[in-house]
Amino acid sequence: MNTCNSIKPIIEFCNLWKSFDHDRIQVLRGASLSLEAKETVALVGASGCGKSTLLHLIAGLDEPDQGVVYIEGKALNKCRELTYRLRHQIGFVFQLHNLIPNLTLRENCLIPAVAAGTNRKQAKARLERLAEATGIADRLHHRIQDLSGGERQRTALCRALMNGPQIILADEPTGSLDDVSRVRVFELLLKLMREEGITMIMATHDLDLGRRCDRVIRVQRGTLFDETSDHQPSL
Amino acid sequence: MTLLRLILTNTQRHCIRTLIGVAGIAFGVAAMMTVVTLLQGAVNMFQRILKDDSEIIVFERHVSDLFFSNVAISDIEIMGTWPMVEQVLPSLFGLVSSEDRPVIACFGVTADSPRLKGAEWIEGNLSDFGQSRDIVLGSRAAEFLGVKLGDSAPLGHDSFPVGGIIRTENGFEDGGVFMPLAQAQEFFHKNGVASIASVSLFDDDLREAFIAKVKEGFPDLTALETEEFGNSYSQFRIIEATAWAVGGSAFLLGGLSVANTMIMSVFGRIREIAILRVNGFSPTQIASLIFGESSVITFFGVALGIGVGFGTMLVLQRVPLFQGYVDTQLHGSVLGVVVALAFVTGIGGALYPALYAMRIHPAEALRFE
Ligand SMILES: Nc1ncnc2c1ncn2[C@@H]1O[C@H](COP(=O)(O)OP(=O)(O)OP(=O)(O)O)[C@@H](O)[C@H]1O
Ligand SMILES: [Mg+2]
Repeated sequence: MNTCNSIKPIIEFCNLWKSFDHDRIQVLRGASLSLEAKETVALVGASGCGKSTLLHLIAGLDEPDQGVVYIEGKALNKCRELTYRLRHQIGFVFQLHNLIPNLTLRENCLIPAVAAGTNRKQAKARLERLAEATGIADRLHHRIQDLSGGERQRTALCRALMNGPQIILADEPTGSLDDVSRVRVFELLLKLMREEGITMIMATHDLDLGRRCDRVIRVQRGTLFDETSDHQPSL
Repeated sequence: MTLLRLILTNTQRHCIRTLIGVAGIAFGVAAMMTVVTLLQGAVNMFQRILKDDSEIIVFERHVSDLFFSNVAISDIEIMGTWPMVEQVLPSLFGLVSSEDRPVIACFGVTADSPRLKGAEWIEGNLSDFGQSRDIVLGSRAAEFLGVKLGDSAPLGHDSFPVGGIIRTENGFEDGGVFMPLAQAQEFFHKNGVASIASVSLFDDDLREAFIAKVKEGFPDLTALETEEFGNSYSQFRIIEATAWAVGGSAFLLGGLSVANTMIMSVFGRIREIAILRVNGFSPTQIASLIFGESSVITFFGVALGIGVGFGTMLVLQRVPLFQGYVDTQLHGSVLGVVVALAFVTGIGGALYPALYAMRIHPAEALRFE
């Protein structure tokens, strides 16, 4: 339990509980974790074990029944703080790209900038750099419908990085891709995280890819085990 | 990329749905514009009949309609002797019918009526008016009765020789019948009375004195300045209230169609709204997106509605049945109120959808496939 007090964790929670359906579905039962900045973590576990639930709780999209999630030492109190967290601190990537059809790649990527009211010039410069990095620079004016799954996922990644978050939460970002694209997108993700110094938690069923992260954490029976340090609870 | 671009894209995505909302608002705007303008036009036209020849009109106190007002000719003659009075003219209003026209306005007037004096005489002339049983027809009335000078015009239970045909600007008059006063009194069984007396004074400053004098001398009568008459005459007020009520109902339907469009639109993209939230949109930004979309729909609805409204009025103006009766002069104030109401209903219709969208729970919505 001592790591709850470790030096400057970027994400920290102790004894997190979450259940659904009036306690009938108990998903998290005292999950604890402390992550330092720039760490990359693979979150693994059987389907239905609570990986997505945990990511939602970390982002503040849902509230735990018990326990508090601290991001950079701060807990959420108000709706405004949640907006700030989602706008500036955390970027989300999903299994499905969740891009808005009828908008071009460029427009989709700029949505977080619209939300934050970033000035045009800055947003444009940032987009150009990210589009280059994610390899979609030459497709920016295409619509989502014209793209392959891998390209869509790169676009989603570009969007998640738009406002320069310190944390990326990725929920099976490669889950809907074929083997080749899966590896490519994952490698891109990991490379960008390391280059930009971003902390990442990625839920995945692909242990081979997961092992390439700094830590592998398994969700089991509602708690977290750090597989990189011999099945000890991740504290 | 701006919020506006996002709003426009969203409205384009479901063209049919958007069009239904646009059509709803357009229908409300067009209906209200047309109904209010037409009825106001009719009121104005009637008011102008009264205004044409005098500053003050005298009629029977407490009557709901001028057709039921009786002012004794003897009283009118007394008023004529007052020094402040330049001229008093009696008019008797009645409605007659012919075979295929259930309602034709009939004016019982004397030869010095400005209505006849000011008209363009197509056939016959003013000097013969009142010398015989001959009646004078407005040009539209002559047309729909199918008669010319010298013919006999069948009206009600009787028929009258046509002694003249005149053209006037006013629809009621141009589609109406002018009878010598005595003739009209006999025809409508109103011997010795007129419906109103139109009074002109030597000096405008004497109006109040005249009105007070009527009040004192003839307790059964009311004298009103013609403008004031228009404001207080209950028939006009009923007509105008009806117009706004009919138009308002059309608007309610328009508002409901926007509400429906926006509800469908929000329910159809719960997940997408959650994604916007995840990407940093605040609940307020999400609400402004929804309100923005309904404003776009309202904007196009208003534009289309104004076009359709003008079109409808142009068509009505050309329909022979309405010719001359339709005054399609649209007042800026009516247009202003209609546009303002359209935006109120449009935005009102988006209220619930916007609240719903603001309250979407992102984690639950993300599980929503
Ligand atoms: N809103 C909810 N209402 C009821 N049950 C829920 C709700 N959200 C999640 N659950 C349940 O909680 C459990 C954990 O779900 P979660 O989506 O976190 O699993 P997961 O580890 O992400 O699974 P997968 O690998 O298949 O994505 C599941 O049994 C799920 O049915
Ligand atoms: Mg999941």
